[in-house]
Amino acid sequence: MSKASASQTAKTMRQLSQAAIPILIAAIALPLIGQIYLALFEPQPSANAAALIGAHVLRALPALILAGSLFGLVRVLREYEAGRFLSAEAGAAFKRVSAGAMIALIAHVAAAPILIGLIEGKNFNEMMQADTFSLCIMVFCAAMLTVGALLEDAARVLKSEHDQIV
Amino acid sequence: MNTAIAAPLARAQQLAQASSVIAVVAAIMLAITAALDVAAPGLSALPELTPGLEGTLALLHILGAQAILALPSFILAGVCLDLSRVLRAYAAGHIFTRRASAGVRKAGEGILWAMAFKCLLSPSLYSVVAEHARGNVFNLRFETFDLGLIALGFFIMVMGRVLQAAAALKAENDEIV
Repeated sequence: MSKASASQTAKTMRQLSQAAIPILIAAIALPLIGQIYLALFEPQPSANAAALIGAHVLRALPALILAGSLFGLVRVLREYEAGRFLSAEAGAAFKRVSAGAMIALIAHVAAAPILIGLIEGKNFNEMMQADTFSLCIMVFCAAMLTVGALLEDAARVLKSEHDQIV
Repeated sequence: MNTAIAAPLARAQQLAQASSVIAVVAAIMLAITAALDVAAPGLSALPELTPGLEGTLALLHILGAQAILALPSFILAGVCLDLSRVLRAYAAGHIFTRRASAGVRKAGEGILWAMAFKCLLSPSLYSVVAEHARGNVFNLRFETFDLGLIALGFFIMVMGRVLQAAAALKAENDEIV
């Protein structure tokens, strides 16, 4: 793969992600809007609408955080598109995406289930959703965070060496 | 080299070293937990099984069905091991190399495979093996959060591919110089 084709791949992926991420957000948000509508205008008898809406929002929130953090990848791909494969901006953006994914996972595994459990009056054992699969995805995100930090710092060092030579 | 600039890199390399160890530990723990998930139903069914070929086949059937459900966890354990290799390379200072970039790509692909098995392939295969496909074979199980994870895996795979191409270019340039 030449530099031009690597940049072209990055450009195609950037365009694809700019189109796909809003669709992803819509796929998460539209059912949520439907659920909120039902809770507000067609409530079940003896159901607390506010609590129901709160639970629906909390259930969708981790996915929305994850989808929102993916927008940062557009910045990474834009740097690659410009041929700057080892840039501090790309590394920092990648680090931010990984941090966003980590926050989303913590919200998915712990924060949202606990808050939903408190709203619905469940006990602690019923609240927690931490399975090994989710924990390993967390390890994956932590590793990606390290990769982002390393790419960012390596780019800084490279730039500093280059500046010294110049 | 400017030491003030190089210090964060050295710290990040130490972090990569620690993360690679954590990734290996996570891979081992995940593999053990998944293996226990496979073995537990078989062990609990053991007293009810008849001795001989029929009982052995029934036990294998139970273990096989559970192994299908545990496949995504085994794939993720492999991803963690791949990542530990990438992080070890980074810790050794081999940051912009073809091998490390290929590792990032493989990790993204691994996440995609794990999600494919978790959401579609494992539930469908399980319905064929354990439930003899009563009803619908096409069994899709996923939450909205899984969509985000699939997108994340896909973009990491693409990033790895671009980094791999860029690392190959750098290697070519270094050879010329």
